[in-house]
Amino acid sequence: MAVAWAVILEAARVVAVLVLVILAAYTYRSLFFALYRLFSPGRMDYTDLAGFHLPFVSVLVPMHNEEAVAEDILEALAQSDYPKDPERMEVIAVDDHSTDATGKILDDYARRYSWVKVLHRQGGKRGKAAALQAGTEAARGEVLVVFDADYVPGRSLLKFLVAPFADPEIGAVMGRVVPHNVGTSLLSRLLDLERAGGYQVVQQARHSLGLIPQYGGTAGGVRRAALDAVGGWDPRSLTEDTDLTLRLVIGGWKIAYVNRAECYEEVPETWEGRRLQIERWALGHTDCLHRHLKPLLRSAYLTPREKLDGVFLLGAYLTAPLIALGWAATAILFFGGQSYLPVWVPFFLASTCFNAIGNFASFFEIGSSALLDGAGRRVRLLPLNVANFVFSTVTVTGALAKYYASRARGRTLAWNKTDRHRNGNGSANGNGDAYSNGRGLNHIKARAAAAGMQRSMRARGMDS
Amino acid sequence: MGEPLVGYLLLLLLFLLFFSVSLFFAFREWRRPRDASPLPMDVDYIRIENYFGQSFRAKVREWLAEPQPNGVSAGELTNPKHRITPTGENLLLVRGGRIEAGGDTDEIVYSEGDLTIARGSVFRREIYCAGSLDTEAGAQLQSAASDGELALGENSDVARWIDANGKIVIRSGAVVRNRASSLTSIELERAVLVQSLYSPLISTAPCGTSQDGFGGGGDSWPRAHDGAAAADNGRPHYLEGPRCTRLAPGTWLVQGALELPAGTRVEENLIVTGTLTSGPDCGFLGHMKGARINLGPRNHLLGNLSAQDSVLIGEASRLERNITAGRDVRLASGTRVGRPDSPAVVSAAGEIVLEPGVAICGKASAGRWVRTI
Repeated sequence: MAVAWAVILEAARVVAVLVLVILAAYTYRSLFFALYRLFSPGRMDYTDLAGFHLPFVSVLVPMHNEEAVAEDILEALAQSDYPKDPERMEVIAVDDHSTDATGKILDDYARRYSWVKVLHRQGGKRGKAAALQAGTEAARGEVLVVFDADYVPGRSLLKFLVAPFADPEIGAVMGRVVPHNVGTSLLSRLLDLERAGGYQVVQQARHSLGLIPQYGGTAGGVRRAALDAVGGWDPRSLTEDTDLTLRLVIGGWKIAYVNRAECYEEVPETWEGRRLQIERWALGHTDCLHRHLKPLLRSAYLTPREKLDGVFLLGAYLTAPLIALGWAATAILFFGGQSYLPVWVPFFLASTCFNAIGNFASFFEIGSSALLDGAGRRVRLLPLNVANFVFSTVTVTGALAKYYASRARGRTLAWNKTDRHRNGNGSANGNGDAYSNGRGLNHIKARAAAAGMQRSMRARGMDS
Repeated sequence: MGEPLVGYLLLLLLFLLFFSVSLFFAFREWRRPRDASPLPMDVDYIRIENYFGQSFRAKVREWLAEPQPNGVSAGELTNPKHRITPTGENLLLVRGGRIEAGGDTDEIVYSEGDLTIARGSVFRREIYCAGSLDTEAGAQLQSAASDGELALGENSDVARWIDANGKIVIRSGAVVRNRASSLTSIELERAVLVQSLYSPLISTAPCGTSQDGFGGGGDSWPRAHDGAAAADNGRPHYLEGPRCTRLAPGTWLVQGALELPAGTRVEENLIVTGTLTSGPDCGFLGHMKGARINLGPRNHLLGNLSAQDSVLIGEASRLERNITAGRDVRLASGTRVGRPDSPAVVSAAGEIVLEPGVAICGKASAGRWVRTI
């Protein structure tokens, strides 16, 4: 018994040190990115080229039961200032096994606008990657831009997004995603903070430092030749975006991030919706880790710095079970009488403990993004992100347990769709329930304008 | 046992103290939100390259349309009229003519006709001239918009922008610290500094407003390129030496430096991780990227050109599309960028140096300066 206990303690010690080392690496990376963004000038980001480089763009919008939002995105694309010349732009809306009115809405738009094409998929594999693959087969564009159905692209977004493709080495471009349904729940406010940190700090820092910005699968574009060169979309992947990011960089292409190419999206408003979302991300991401880690490390096109960043990117979801493991190991050590702390150490540990919960590093990233966005007030909510942090840690740990169990049994993982919170049969024209419920395109624009006005009044000291 | 326990209790208390203080503010923000709106983003935003001038003109016209109690309208220059804008600013209305140097002017100026600003005058606010605007040497302006032509005198200094519907001439030694834009053309004399320029034709003296050298792609394609390169097992001859890979059909990645001999014709997209150097009379049908790019004289590029570092373009070269550089760009004499029917951009994070006789159809934008020599 004593021997077994000694083994457990020794194992806990090893695990604790290992976890500390790995998490410390992620901590310093987060700190470095945040400080870099706060104090270093950004890299030239191709924005001068917006409107001067206008390749033929195929906009792909995969949709599965998206009647609540389908009209908004098509209307937003109709208002885009990208030339609607038949050799410059086409929109391919993919109705992926929808059972609601999505198909009918899309057909109506195809009748109204010659540049809208609809693909109805009722057979074959369901899921975003499969829908994208079908859309890509029908697309004629040199650049493919992908939007999820709940996105609201601004009028000039396409011009900013395709500008970096003037650089022949760029295989994919990612824009910035900004939640519009902030304030509908605590979760949506916390996710707004998290997104800001992820894009304004992490993605921009990666771009500026010449690392690997992640192509996020929506509000982003991919060069058709690059996509074909790396084998197209992989319908087996639950996170086709991470999968494509890795295949592109391993294949010698670069990925650009354009902070100025902003696009509104809808974030989950319920914890259940959030759970489904991060579960899918964790499963897909970890699957990418297993498939791409070796090729990444062996790639002849990547510098050691890029490879290190790629490893951090691939291992991101493993930090959750590591944290859980770290908690368990330290609890065993603590209650096993393995603490050798001098009396004065608690003072030092008090602050590090506080930081370990998350008020440092990744939270610092979020705080920095709020500063860069000039949105300092919302950062007061940041300590509550502990709830989101713990929730994510538990969910991702569970998802990874599920992943490795499925892998051991040789099963494939199922794709799930994120819930939409706009309702009614589209809302772009301001009619119907959706608009009166304050979730339509016009409402989103009005909220954004009001937020801008509030910001400028605050800047002039006119805020009550 | 007692001492460690006290230590852990202290630890717990300190932790709870820090945690509860930050949570207090967080809970307050949650329950009584002061900033729960989405990050402001102008969904309707469209980039307008001469936005400063357009928006200022619109604002002045709006102010002029506002009724004034004393019926002020534009008067003689010798007796200019003042008008108060709704935002409480003074608008000085003049009919046109010449404003003599006489200290600083702190009012926004609106001129109904052609206006000349005398040597050394200082205008701390914007000028809107419905006719043509001419500044003599050493004038200092905040910003200026002209519905006609605009000439900026030698060694003048503009703190922000200038915009004209007609031709703009920026004379030697003048500085424009932000954008110069014209709907017609911009001519730059020697030793001019501008942060960015936008016009259908931007040229450095002695090029003038001539559009020579912008002929169509086919008619001016150097004869030396014809048949200068052939493919061998899919790999072009000029790539036989260096280590290279085909990233996609028509796109080659060269690891290291690449030197192209005179008259080489490149039909593919080319990405070079080192320095790309070309001899005279080379032709490029695709896009090009390099860590550094040094093109020889009379090169002709139909695609875009990007460099992580600097770009040097040899004299009398023609680049039909955009140039971007992570540092500096230098365009030698006689270089042409873009076409009148297809404007292009020269963009550099550092400096853009324009030698005499250079012409750009479109935009030149530098992180530091666009400088003429």
